[in-house]
Amino acid sequence: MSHKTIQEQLIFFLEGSLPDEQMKQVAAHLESCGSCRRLFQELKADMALLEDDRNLPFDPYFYAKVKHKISSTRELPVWQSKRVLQPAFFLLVLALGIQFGIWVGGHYDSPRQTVSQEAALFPLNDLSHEPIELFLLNLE
Amino acid sequence: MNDQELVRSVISGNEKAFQVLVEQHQQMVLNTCMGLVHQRNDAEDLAQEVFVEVYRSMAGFRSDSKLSTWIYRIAINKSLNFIRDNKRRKLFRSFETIFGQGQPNLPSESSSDRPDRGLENKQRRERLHAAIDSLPERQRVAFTLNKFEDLPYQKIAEVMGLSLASVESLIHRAKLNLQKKLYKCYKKDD
Repeated sequence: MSHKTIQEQLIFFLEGSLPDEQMKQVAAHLESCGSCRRLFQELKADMALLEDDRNLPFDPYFYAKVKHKISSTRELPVWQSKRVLQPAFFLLVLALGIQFGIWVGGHYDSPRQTVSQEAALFPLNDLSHEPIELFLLNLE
Repeated sequence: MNDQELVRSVISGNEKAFQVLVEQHQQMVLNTCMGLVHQRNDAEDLAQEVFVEVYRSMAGFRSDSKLSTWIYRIAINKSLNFIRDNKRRKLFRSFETIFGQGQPNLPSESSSDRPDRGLENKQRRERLHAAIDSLPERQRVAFTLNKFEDLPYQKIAEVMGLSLASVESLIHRAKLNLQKKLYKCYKKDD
């Protein structure tokens, strides 16, 4: 088996959930391959930490704390809970922002430029500077 | 006292019955929350909130599922909501840090939780938790229930409302993904 195949099976080898034949093959490979063995040792050390997290010491006052929490917290109606109020507040702010943007857009007054009718019709009218006769004389 | 009798007693206001219920299920709730949030203090707070919710919603409990299955569901939902809220809080905190308000992110409580552990273990634990947290949500939940609670696949399927085959597939993929992510970390550390 290749290194890649072995490495894919290490987590299952660690749990002992591979079929017998594969367990033997992986064990034999780990005997002879240093890099796969190192990965296996690392994985084994990491997975062992899960066991530590599982066996948490027991809190003798746990029930008392639960009772205290029940008596000290009044149940809020759904519409008063933070999970509803917070998104509602953000939605309101967003809606106000959009409304304000529309209002500003509607009231924007661009500076109007007065353009004479002649200038609009002849935007490049240079006849006043150079009569047509002179223009034709200069044209070669 | 079986589940139905226990539930009936709690609904009728029997405090002793509620205490029995809490004591019977507190370890499983704490393990589940711990498996998902990884911080002892957060997990304890969440476990307390789970039982507050159980107490308040007891009248709505229908006996079509087992009591433990129902409590697992509440614990998972609370933990996942906590993780989502925490992500949002971290995002806001990072904005505040960028814009010069607020304090930079302080190290998480976990670093001071376990003074008896060595630095190497702490780094390993952070790496492992980060790898678990990066799994897709359903894979993470299935993996946590299997690893932290030793729940059989059938029970996980009941809690998550999935078929047995889906749970088997989820857990298999979760293990492969976790392994891959950890290998990447090992190679980075070299």
